[in-house]
Amino acid sequence: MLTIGSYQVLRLLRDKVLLVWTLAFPIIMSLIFMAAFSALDDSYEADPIEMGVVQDDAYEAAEGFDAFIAALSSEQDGTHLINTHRYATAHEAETAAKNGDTVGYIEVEDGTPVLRVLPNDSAANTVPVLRAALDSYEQTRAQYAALAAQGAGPEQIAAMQVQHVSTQRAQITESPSSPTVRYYFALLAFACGMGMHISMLAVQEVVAGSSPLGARRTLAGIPRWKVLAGTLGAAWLGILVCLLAAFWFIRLVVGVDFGAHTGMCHLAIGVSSLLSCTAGAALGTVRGMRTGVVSGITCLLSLFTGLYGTAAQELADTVQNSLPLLAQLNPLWQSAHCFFSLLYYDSLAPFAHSCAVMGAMACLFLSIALVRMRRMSHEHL
Amino acid sequence: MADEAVSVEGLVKRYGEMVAVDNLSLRIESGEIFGLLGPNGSGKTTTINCVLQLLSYDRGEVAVFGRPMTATSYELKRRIGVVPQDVAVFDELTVAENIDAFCALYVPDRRRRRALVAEAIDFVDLGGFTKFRPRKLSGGLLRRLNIACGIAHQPELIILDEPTVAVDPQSRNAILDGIRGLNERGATVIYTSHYMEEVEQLCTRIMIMDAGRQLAIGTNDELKSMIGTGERIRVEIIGTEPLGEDVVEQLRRLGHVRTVDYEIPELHVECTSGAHNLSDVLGVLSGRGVAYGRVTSEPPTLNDVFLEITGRALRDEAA
Repeated sequence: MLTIGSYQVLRLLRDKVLLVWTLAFPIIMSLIFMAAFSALDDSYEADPIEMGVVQDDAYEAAEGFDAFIAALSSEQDGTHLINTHRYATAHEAETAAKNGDTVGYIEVEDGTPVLRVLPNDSAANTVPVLRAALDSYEQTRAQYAALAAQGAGPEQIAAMQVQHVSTQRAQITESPSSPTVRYYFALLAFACGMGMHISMLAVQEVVAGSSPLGARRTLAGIPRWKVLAGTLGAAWLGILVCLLAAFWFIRLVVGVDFGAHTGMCHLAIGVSSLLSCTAGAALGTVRGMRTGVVSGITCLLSLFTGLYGTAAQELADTVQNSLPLLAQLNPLWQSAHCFFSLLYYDSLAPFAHSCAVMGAMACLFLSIALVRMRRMSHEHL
Repeated sequence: MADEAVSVEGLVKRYGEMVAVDNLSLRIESGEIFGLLGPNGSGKTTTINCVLQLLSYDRGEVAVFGRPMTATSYELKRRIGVVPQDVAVFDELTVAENIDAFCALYVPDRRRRRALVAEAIDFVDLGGFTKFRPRKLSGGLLRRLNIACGIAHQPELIILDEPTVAVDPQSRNAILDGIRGLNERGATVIYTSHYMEEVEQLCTRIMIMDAGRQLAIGTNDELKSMIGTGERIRVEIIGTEPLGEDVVEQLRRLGHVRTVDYEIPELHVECTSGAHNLSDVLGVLSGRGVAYGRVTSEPPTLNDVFLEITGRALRDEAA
C-alpha cells in the first residue's frame, strides 16, 4: 500500500500539467490579484504635491489660514498633502506652476481660499482631497464667523472645535475587514476544486472499466482495498500539499489576513482537500470523464463564491440570501465560508458547521466512489 | 486436476442479445504454450477477461490451477501475469519504476522485488533504458516494457494478448524468444495473436474460435490434418505459350488434386495428402510438353487452416 501510494505521489510530482493546475495556478492567480489590488489601494493614496501659496495681504488677513496651510504641509500628523512654496504675488506663483516647479497655487480672494492647478496626472489623487480640505476650512471659518456674529465667546467656539468630528471608524470583527480577502478565499476554494483532477485521474487508473491501466491494476495480487487506499491516500496528500502551499503563499507572500486561527485554517484546508479528493474520486468512476468537465464544474461552482469580481459576488450574495440551502450545497462555497467564519466570526460555530457539512459531503462522495470502485469487472471492452 | 493450469466449463457471456462466448469449454495443461486464434470479435479477449474475472459472465465455471477463480482470489492472481493488448504503463515513471510499481501489486517485499525487477529488465533486454520514461521508448521497447510489467513477479501462468502488434521483426523475434524462455522456466503461456506464423512457431496447442465458439483445438499437426489440403504445389510455367485449358482440366482429374489455379506464369495446385502428388503433377506437364522452371511443394500452413475453418469473408473490426 505504501509503495502504491509513494509511486502515486511520485507520478503527481512529475505530472507538470496537473501541478500547474493544482499548485501553480492558484499561486499565479494570487499574484495577479495582489498586483491588481495593490494598484487599487494606490489609487486611494493622496501623495504630497508641490503647491505654491500666495502669501499676500489677503493671505495674512484670512483667519487661521496660515495654521491651516502649515497643517497641510506637516509630515507628522497624517495630513501631509502639500509641500509649500511661498510667493509674494499670484503672478509669481502662476509662473512657477507653468515652469513646472509646482502643480498649482493657492491664493486667498475676498477672504476665501482658491485653488488653481494645472492638469497633472501625478496630482490627480491629491487635488480632490486638497480641494475638500479647503472647502472644509471655508465651511469652518464661515461657521465660526456666524457663531461670533451671534455673540459666542472664544471659549464656546474652542469647544465646538474639539467636538468637530463627524464620523469615526469602528471595528466590530476580530480582524479588520477587507473587501479583497473574499477573492483569496474564493481562490483557495477554486484550488480545492481543481484538486479534484488529482483524485479523478488517480481513480481512473484503478477502475477496470476506465483505462487499460485500471484493468491491469484490477488484476493485482493484493487485496483491492489496499490498492484503493494507497491510491486515494496519495491523491489526498497531493491535494493537501498543493492547498497548503497556496495557503501559505497567500498568507506570507501576498499578505492576506486569515485571522488568528492559523491551526483552524489548516483544519479547513484538511477538510477541503478531503472533500476535493472524494469528489474527484466519485467523478473518476464515471466512465469517460474528462479533465475538462472537472475544470468546467469547478469554474461554475466558483461563480457562486464570488471569484470573478463584484458582479459574481453580488450574484453569490443574492443566491446566499434567497436560497441559502442551495448556496450551502456548493462545496466550494463551504470551503470559502470556512475561512470567512474564522476571520469574521467571534464564535467557531459557523466554522464547525461548514466543516461538518464538508465532512458529510466527503463521506457521501467517498461512499459513491467506493461502491463504484469495488466493482472489479467492466462490461464494455 | 493439479496439472490443469486453466479449466473453463460451459462459459457463456452475453451482451444483451449478442452472445460473445457461447458455451465454451477449455482445458489448458500446465507447461503448455496455448494459442488462442480467432478473427476480430470472435470472443478471444472476452474469454480471457472472463478467466481473469475482469468480466462477469452469465454461466459457466472457471478454475485456475485447480481452484475456482473469483475476483478476490488474490492468491491465484499472484500466480498469474497478464500482458494486455494495449500498452498499459505509467507515463510519469521510468522503465525500472514502472516494472517495480506493477511488481509491487503482487510482491510486497521490497528486497525480493528489487531482484525480480532486475531479472525482468534483463529478460526483456531493457538494461540500457532503465532510466527512460515510456514516451522516450520506441514501439518495440514499449512492448517489451509492457511484457516486463506483466511477468516481473514470475507468474506460473502468463496471458499475452497480442503482444507483438505494431512491433518490428527484430523486436518480435526477441519477444517470441522471451516467451519460449518463460515457458522453459516452467510457466504456462496463453497466447493470442493474429499472426499465424507466430502461433505456429510458438504454441504447443492451438484453439481456433469464432462467434464465441470453439471451432477446432489441437496441436499444429492435428489442426492441419483437420482440413482437406495436404500439399500445395507451385509450378512456374516458362514456355512461350500459356498453359492450355485442356492441360488444366487434365490436372483437375488427378486423384488427389482438390483445386487448380493458373495465373500466368504460375500454376497453383492444392492436393490432399498423398505420396506422389508432385510427381503426378509434373508428369502431366512433361507429358504435354510444358516447360516449367521453379517448383515448390509445401504442406498447408496454419493460415490455411484458419481461413478454411473460419471462412474467408472479411470481419468487422468493431465486432
